[in-house]
Amino acid sequence: MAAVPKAVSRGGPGALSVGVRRGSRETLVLLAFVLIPFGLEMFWTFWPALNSVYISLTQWDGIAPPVFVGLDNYARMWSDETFRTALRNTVIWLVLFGGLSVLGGLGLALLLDKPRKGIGVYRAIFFLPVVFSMVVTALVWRMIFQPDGVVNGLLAAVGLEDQARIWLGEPETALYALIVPALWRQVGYIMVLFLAGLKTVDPLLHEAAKVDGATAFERFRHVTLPQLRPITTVVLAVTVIDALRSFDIVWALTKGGPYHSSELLSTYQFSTGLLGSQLGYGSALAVVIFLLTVGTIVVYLVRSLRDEESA
Amino acid sequence: MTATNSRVRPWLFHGGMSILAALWVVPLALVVVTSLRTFDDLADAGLASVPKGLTFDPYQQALESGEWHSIVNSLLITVPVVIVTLLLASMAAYGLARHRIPFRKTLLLLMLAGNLLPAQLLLIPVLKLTEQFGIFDSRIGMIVVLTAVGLGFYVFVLHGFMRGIPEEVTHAAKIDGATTFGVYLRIVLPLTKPAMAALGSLAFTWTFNDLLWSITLLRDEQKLPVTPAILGMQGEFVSSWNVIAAATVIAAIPTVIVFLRFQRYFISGLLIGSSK
Amino acid sequence: MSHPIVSRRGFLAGVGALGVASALSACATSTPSPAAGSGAKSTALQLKSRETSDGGRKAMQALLDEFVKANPQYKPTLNTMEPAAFQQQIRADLTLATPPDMLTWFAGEIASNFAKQGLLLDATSAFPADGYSKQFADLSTDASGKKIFVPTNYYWWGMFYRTSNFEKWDVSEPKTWDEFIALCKTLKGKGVSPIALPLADSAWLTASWFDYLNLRINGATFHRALLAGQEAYTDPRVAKVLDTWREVLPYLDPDGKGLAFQEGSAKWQQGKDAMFLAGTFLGDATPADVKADVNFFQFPIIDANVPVAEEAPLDGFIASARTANPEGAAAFLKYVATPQAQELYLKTSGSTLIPANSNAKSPVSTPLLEKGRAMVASAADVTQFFNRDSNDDQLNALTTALVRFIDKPDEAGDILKQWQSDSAKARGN
Repeated sequence: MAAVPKAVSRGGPGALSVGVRRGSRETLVLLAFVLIPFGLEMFWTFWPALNSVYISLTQWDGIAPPVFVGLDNYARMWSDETFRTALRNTVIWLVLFGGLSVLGGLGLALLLDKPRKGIGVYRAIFFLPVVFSMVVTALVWRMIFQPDGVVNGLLAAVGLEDQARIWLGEPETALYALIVPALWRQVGYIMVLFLAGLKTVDPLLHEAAKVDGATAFERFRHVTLPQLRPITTVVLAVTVIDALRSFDIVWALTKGGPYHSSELLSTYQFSTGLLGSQLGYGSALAVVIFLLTVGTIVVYLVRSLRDEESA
Repeated sequence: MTATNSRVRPWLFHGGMSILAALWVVPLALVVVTSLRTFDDLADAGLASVPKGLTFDPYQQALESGEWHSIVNSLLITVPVVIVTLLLASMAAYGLARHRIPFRKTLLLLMLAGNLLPAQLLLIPVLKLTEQFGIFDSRIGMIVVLTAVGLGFYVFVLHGFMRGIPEEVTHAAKIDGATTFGVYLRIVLPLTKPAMAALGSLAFTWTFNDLLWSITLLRDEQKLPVTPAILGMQGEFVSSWNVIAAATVIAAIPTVIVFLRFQRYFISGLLIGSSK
Repeated sequence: MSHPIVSRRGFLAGVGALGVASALSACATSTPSPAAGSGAKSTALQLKSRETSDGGRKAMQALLDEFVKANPQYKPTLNTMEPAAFQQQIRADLTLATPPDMLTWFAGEIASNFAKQGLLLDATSAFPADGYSKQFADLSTDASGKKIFVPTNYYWWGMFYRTSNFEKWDVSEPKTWDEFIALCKTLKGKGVSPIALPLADSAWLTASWFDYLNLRINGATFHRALLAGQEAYTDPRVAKVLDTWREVLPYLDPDGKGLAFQEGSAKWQQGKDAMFLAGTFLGDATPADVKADVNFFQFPIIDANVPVAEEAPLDGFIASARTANPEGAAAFLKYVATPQAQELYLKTSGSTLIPANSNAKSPVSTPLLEKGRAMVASAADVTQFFNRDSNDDQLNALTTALVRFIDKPDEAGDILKQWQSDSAKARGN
């Protein structure tokens, strides 16, 4: 957090006007272009967040005056078994949910990029889960996973009754079962981002490579993928963000249970900090989630932005 | 397998795709079936049962319970948020992607970081802030906050896209004497249309279905957008799932329309080289 | 635009600095927001309700309509919020500059905490001198002796079953724990799953089992001390509760952990599960033609020497201390304490509830209701429910422990240790 004040003052109007060498009017326009959105966002995010960072150093039930306890809330995480479970689950979630949604989204985008009959329908179908409200999404997935539900019904139909389980109710399967509806909602969204990205791929290069006798895979590897690079950066960042923040589907289906087996940091944070009355500890958990997200993607982004700059 | 490969065998493409699409549709179909059952049927036999009969009554009940009103509320918040967000985000992204502004990378990462802050860190302080500004429990408050907290993401994505625009295009315009604003309006915006369309449909969907911010910043039942309104149809112990499912299907219509209208912009139809 | 964003002082001073700084930037708008519609001399009164059901909404509106007939100087409005959002909002609501004037709430620990922070209106003048039992009056009183809550109705918990099914299976209500276990065995022998306990979205139901077993084995005094953190979950008396519960575990429907409450109650209603430890809301969820068939028996007696306590969660109203219209809010509380108001509410809502004011009659008296009323009236002590008597953090610790116990009854010792540690941490120890 210490870098924040420094960065803001360095990026202030003074420094900017030196760097822009056009007319002062042009500079002003450019300034407005960047600083209005920037200022608006900073005011409504970092400013309130600092307040919550302070709360994370207190013990607070949301009503009585907060009691300053220093770093106690952070120290508590070390001895908190549930926190460790949630952290481990979050990493699993990041790898499985993140990885599969990027692969799935890219695959669908490639298949549905070229115009052909009926393609709009397919796209709409894959995007549809994104638009349905969580209330009902949770409802149907519970129907699918419940003991006499769709999954177990299908297993019985193909003679695999003994594989039937209470998918969301057993600690061994709950987390993995949750990944399915999460992917179901995420893939369409990643597909949309990739579809938009594929528009920047120059079709002439494709044709040229084809004339040179490159196979479809080679063209994908050497033509499409490099040109998709800016959007891939975006998608990977978005995926990390979403994976670390995944909350609603897990909360709606298991609330992190049974006994914390599907707990993610986000759900744990919610149940302690927002539903419970431990706002101090909850805020500390939220700060950790933030640091984790930033840590995971900033390193990657700084590198990839620098590479693009020099390219 | 890539797109060009599958083009050779349309039946294979359609065969595979329709199986996948069918799998995708199963949960949605369950929603629709549930929305066409009676409450007694559901209460009697449970959700995962074969319906005794189908009826459109739940749709009527959903609409009678004032769902139109909450859909209008959602639109009154969503449309301004999407427009302002895309406008501000494209401006910032253009400035950051196309100009050698000092610390542009830091600014970009800070904006992204702002978006990375878990909402739970912001809820209570933002509530207090809106109260100070007198925009608590108001649509304008929702619009301001939803726009502000989301901006970082859109700037970041658009920045990614704008970097993909060949430098020569904007350069040429500048040499021809176009202003910063002119280049933005006449060159950059049209070229980022696919990205804007994609982001527009995402922004619309997310804002339209927002729950967390609405229940934090709104109190008046009459102003509630559609997701909390649908939640409000749930009872504390027992819910008319058929009506809730019907309400969800109705609430999905605006977003589906927006998606279908916007998706044409990310079809690579007009480009040379794509054979059909 | 950008300069005031981050400062070291803001970082350190937290809440206070945030308030000052934004008040400065907000300038003219720092007065209470006009959107809430209540100025200093307001006649507006807002009732915030968490009753989302059709009957509940109508009943609340009926209360306001009737209230305004007697008090035409006020303009009351109803604002309904679904229970989960209501719960999330209440802390913020009570500290708003223009809070809702009256709110639906329940007796217990949380209301006492609100009162301790001075967030609740003193309702002493609104509280009737007679009509409320001493227990209910005590539950409405804060530590300083002020009345802060006006109870309007309560429900009860019991072992619910369908009369026709018990007849079909040729079994009858058990009185004692041994009879209960024998009944479970008989039912299982007939191929019926004895006990429903859906956990998918309602793990909190395990608290009802814990509450009752603890009340029956160790009594209400120990139960309260345990919930207040004065006794530990590692106490052998708590271990005994789990040991007793272990006898029942084989009779729980194994599908329960994958079923949502509504699915579980459907299954019970179809007769696939015989019994369901629940509140009266279970019967309210059944289709109209089943309602008359719904019956219950008292949670079986385990130790005859322990005074019998029952769970009877008490609902009612609180008013915000920061209301712009304290006279109006108090007048409303006074009104809802009357037998007429409570009868009107129950008649309109159609729920199986008992009026809290003993002078009120149940407008629709059913055998079920009378049986419940008699059971609670004869109880030596009354508790609210686990999370009402403690809070949601404690409930969280409980569900974690008990759901794990159902799965792995052999790990009881370990589970209790974890429970005690979770519980203490949530208290900040």
